[in-house]
Amino acid sequence: LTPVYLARNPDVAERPFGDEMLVVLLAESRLFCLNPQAALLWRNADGRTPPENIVEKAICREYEVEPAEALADARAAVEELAAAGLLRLSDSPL
Amino acid sequence: VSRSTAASYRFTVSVGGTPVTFETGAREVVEWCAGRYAGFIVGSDHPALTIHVSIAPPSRPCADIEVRRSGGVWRITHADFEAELDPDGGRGSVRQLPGSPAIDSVLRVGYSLLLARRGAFLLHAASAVRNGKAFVFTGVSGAGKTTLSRLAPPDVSLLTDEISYVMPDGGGYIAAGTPFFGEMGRPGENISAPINSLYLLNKGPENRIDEVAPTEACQAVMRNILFFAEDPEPVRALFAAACRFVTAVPVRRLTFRPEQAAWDLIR
Repeated sequence: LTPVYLARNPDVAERPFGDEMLVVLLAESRLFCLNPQAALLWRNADGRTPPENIVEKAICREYEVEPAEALADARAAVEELAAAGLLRLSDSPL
Repeated sequence: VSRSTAASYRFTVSVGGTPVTFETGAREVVEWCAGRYAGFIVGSDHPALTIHVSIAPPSRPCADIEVRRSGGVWRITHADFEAELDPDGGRGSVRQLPGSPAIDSVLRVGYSLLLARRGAFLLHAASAVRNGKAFVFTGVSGAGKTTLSRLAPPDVSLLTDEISYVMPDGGGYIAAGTPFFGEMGRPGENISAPINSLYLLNKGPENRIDEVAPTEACQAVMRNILFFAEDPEPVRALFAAACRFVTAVPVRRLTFRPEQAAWDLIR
């Protein structure tokens, strides 16, 4: 697995509602609703922590899921969030 | 309506207590507004916006309405009118073809700009007052706003069947009547009341109310707020307003059959 670092697009407005998160991409006026797992990825996307660590430290502890399963879900979520323009990805810390 | 000079009329339309004054030399504009905004024309010395209206062809007509911002000035262009609004300066102008309902579009844009500064907004929604409480019904075209409005029993005062005026008031919100109507073809009553609930409308086989998650509620409000530009800062402000609204006001889904009994649930 190539290391991938995640950073939030700074040009957004966000608001947590319970475990979920609403995020608006301001330039496009597009609104996204992140489910609890995606919201955890979002909150921890600091540009320095790879998703494996986020999965291990945040998602697996919170939801008691198997690391392999959680990581697969996280990769899919990261791809979606990046495709939407919410996350920036890099193979080195951002 | 006052006639301030030999060729100039001046009158004020006030929605939700926010006055907008029009100045024009065109008698037809006065007559059109007198019919369209009956019940909302007031006397006011301190308008939030003063708009000069002239009858002249737009310099750059375009088929669909376009709203663009340049500095603090918003430019609206359409096939039969063009307008500029400067909410900070409190001024605006409209050039419209004879017989155009341009003022109604400009007024909606103007109010959406004025309200955004106060955490208030226009919502694509019907609204009504019953027992001193306002109920707001939002949904896309066809969701049932006009249908439900037409079914309202006599003890219900309709605020609008199309565009609701929503503004913060203390820890809650109030809805005010608007002259902006849909298929009902007539303005709402010029009254206001504290909002009891927002309902997301859809027609169905039975009358029922269901709870709605806050995220869904906020998404529905964002979809239905009237705003005409995609600038980041206004979008940020609208999102904040929508989030505040759904945390202050109960939001539910109203599924209803097109029958007056649907109003039995609205009290």
